[in-house]
Amino acid sequence: MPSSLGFPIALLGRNVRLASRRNALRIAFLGSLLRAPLGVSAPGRASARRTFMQQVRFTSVSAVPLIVAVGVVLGTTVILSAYSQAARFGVSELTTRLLVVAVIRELGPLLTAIIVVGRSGTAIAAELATNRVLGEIEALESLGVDPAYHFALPRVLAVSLSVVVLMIFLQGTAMFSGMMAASAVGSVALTDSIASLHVVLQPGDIYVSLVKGLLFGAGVGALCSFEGLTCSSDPTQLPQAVSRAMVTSFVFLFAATALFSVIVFR
Amino acid sequence: VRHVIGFSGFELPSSARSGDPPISLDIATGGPALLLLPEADDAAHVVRACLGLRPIVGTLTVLGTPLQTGMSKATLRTLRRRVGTVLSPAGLLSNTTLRKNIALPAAYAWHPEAGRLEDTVAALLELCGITRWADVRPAAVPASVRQRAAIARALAIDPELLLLERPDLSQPAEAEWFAGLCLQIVAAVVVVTNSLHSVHADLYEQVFHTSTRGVSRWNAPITT
Repeated sequence: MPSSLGFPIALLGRNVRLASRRNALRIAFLGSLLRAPLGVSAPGRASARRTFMQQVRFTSVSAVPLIVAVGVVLGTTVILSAYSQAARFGVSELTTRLLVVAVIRELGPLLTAIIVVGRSGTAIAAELATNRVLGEIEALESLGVDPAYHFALPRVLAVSLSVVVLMIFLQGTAMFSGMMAASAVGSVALTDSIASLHVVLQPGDIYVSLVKGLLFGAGVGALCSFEGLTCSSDPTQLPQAVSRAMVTSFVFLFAATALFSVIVFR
Repeated sequence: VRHVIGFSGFELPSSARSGDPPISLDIATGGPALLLLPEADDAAHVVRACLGLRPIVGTLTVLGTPLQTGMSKATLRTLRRRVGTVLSPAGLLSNTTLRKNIALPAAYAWHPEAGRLEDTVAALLELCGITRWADVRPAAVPASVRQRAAIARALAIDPELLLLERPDLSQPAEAEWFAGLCLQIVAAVVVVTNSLHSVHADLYEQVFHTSTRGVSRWNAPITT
């Protein structure tokens, strides 16, 4: 084979090999997260609980204004567009169902998780990578502290919980603001929208949404923690760790969304 | 005689460049010991190898536990909780106070009754003479205080061995304090460094020095 053809193939092979190795490390990291709580003392658990609470405060409480703003914009644009198009095609009765599927099942969990990646996931990766660069993680590891338990697990749980809480805020705000907007432009009365929502909103929609929120949050928390904890001690690697955390989280979110859609709508 | 650390055919990172033979030596329990190595990287490697944080070439035994590749995390964690280690740099968490830094590894290493942890930390702050800095973050204190806090953190897990990587004891006040500390604690003390001037060699009962001929030992205290 000519070398001009061999080089890109060799490069592709090398990248595939490196990506496979990195994914194997990610899976091993998930395993260590699951095993981490075993045999931890009560003061150790209390210490991790403090980290958990701080992360919940930063990831969910501080993000509520942003989530509400996004929810208002999402609800207004999506619902107004949907109502106007549905009226044109004479399928107004399907509009609320369509909105439930779009906002509650699909966009709510995905948008919330994307906001959490941009706001908290990158912060987690940057913080843990800084801890690594400064030798703080190695120092604690040398004294028998498990980094997976102390640094990663509280953040994974906190992000998971926060995505669910923020998702409920986003969905509620989007639905309510959308109905208000539809009512304001005279598309449909607010009372009719609410009555219709009662009929079309199935328990399954809520379960799927909650499971997605939990899974997305846990995945984002784990991926961002992994990238931070596995950063090398070279300070130039810190921005790359943050970038990798963001990219892998987005890939995970879109892949998981597609997978959920295939499973649920099959 | 029980040995706290034993090396046999142990290769240092600098050996490949310098051609020095692998080191074989046993550090016995007793007074403080100093292991003087050719380069800073060697000191970092030896300390981390003792904790299973670096792969080793040769044989290394710490507190009777032979270090091997493929040891389980739980076994390594148990060993690390028997060795109070102070790395260089000290690696205190920058976003929390000295008091919380000292308490953190102890919280995981022990199963103390409620309140006992705080008493232990207070006693260690007193022992290390840093009580007035207890509620200050590491960035706001002098380097000597950070070093003492790192030693207090290592002692908080009640170790059998206190292992220090390249401590800076060049200031007479720090050397004097460290000598007093060695007399007060139960743990064996091993200092690993590449710079004799920074550690006051007359503080130690055992001094090991590596060279092209292998490891030499001074039994009597030497002066810098």
